[in-house]
Amino acid sequence: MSKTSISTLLLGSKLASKLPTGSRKKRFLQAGPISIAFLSIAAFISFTANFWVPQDPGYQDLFFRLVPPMTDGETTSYWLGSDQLGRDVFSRLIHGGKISFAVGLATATFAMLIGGFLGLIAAYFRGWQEAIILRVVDIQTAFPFLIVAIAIVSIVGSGVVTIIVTLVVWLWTPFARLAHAKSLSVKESEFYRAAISSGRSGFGLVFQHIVPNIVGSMMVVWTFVVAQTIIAESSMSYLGLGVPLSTPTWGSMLSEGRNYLETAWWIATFPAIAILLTVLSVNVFGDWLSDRLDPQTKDI
Amino acid sequence: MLQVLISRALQLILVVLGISTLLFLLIRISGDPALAIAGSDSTSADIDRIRESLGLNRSGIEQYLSFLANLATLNFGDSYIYLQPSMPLILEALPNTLYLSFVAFLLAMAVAIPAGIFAAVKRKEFSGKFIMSMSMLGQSIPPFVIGIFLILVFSVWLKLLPSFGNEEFLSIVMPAIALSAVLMARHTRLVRTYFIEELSRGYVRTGKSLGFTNTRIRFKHILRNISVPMLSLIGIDLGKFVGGAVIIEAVFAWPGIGSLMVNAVKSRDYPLLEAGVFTVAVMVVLVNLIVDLLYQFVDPRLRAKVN
Repeated sequence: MSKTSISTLLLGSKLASKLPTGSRKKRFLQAGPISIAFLSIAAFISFTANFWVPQDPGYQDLFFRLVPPMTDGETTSYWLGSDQLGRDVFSRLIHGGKISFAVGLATATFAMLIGGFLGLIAAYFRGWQEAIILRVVDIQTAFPFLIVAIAIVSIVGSGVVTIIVTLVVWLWTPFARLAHAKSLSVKESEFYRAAISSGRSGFGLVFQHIVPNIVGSMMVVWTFVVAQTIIAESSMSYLGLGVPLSTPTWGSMLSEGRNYLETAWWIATFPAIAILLTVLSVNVFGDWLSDRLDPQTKDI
Repeated sequence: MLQVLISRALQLILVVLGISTLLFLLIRISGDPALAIAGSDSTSADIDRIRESLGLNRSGIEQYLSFLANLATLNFGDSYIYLQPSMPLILEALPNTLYLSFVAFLLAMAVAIPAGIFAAVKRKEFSGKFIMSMSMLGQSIPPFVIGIFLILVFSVWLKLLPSFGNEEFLSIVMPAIALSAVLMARHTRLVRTYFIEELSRGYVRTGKSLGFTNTRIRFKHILRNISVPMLSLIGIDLGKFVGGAVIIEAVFAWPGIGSLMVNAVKSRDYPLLEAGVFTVAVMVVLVNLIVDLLYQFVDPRLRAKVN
């Protein structure tokens, strides 16, 4: 902990982020706001897909199988082409975003709440609670949990809820580690000791003095976990272990497109671009956020 | 040293036991494995016979005890699809997985370390920022998507490289690139961050004032100092690396344990799945043990402490 970070902790992340940091340039077009605007629009479009998408994502028209982008069909124009069953790739792409965004946001949020809570417990009580929680975090971080997740989903059965629960069980660890480390440094600070000596204890102490000081860093990690979750969900869907195949997802579209790369490149390419743009925007936003809220934590 | 070994061995047993028990419980809770083996068009007599042959008619505790005994002797039972003992099947595929992981890991480090140092030295110039943008991009593409694009370009369009299996010498190229991309991107960023941090340290200034060349300071002194924190991160990432290998193997039909496990999952071949997860767990703990031993080698301070 350097001196600057202590002052950040003293002031609280909200205040500290408003202080001039000197080296930061004021630019009109910043990557962070642009990426968050893009993500908001993309999420809004996906969640309202039912109201305006040109075709039912499950509707099959076998007379228009594997038609290239910008082909006019009987019922609709295939802007991004059609797949091997004559379904509209564009409509499926927009509907597929729903799963990615929903799983990404829900997983990261639940993981943050659970991981943050456990990290606070570890730092507040120290003792055996800390020993157990940190040990579990260590072991789980080193283990390729995606493999366990795949095994669990295959046994329990696929579905959005299963995926979210499994990914939360995997991804609570970075939040716990961070909440623990940050809380410990808050506990070293003068204002925390002052709060204790003025008689604060228990929940009031934790929620008024520790939590506000770790929220900024937690938000930064939250964005990176959203990105990680979207990648994990699409990987599982690609393997056929995600949500049931009747629901279109970017991962399952990619795995169907994998077999038609030679004849119909558009089936796999557009969902790939969608995943890339989404995850890239989330990462860029996280980077921007970390510069503002939490300049001390390195990108680890 | 002995202490480290013992605590690691205990951890290995704990991790493997925990994960195997979790799988055991989930499989028993989720339904009758006998039904899964017998298939839909079997009589109840068939199912009873399978149940008896698997020992499923005994009590839960009895089953768990015999499961533990089998675990200790590495006997996970016959694979449902291959009708052979599962552990030898996994061990047969393991060299392919190790080969792919090893090549991909070397590739990632061979690119990430020079690229990270370059990006740190030229951090204010366009070339340094360009490397950072590329690494941001690399972290944002799921490995299997990189794999699909590589197949599209190099197999379908240019017809240069084989798109699946491990039949030819060049088969390794695309899976290795796809698998290494995430690690490469992440470690380029990390090397850069650590390197910049070290640049402001006293020993760098001392070196400069003594007239050492930049090359000597960068590659001899700084690289040595950042190798300790890098090593611990590599240890963490190698675990994730194995997870990535499973998917890359599935994309390229690479004949390793990842492909086997994905098939096992799809056909509910639980013995094969258990053997696979067990093997991965052992591998990860072993890798971490090696990293721990390397620490002592890299950092003389730790050596002094242990001795």
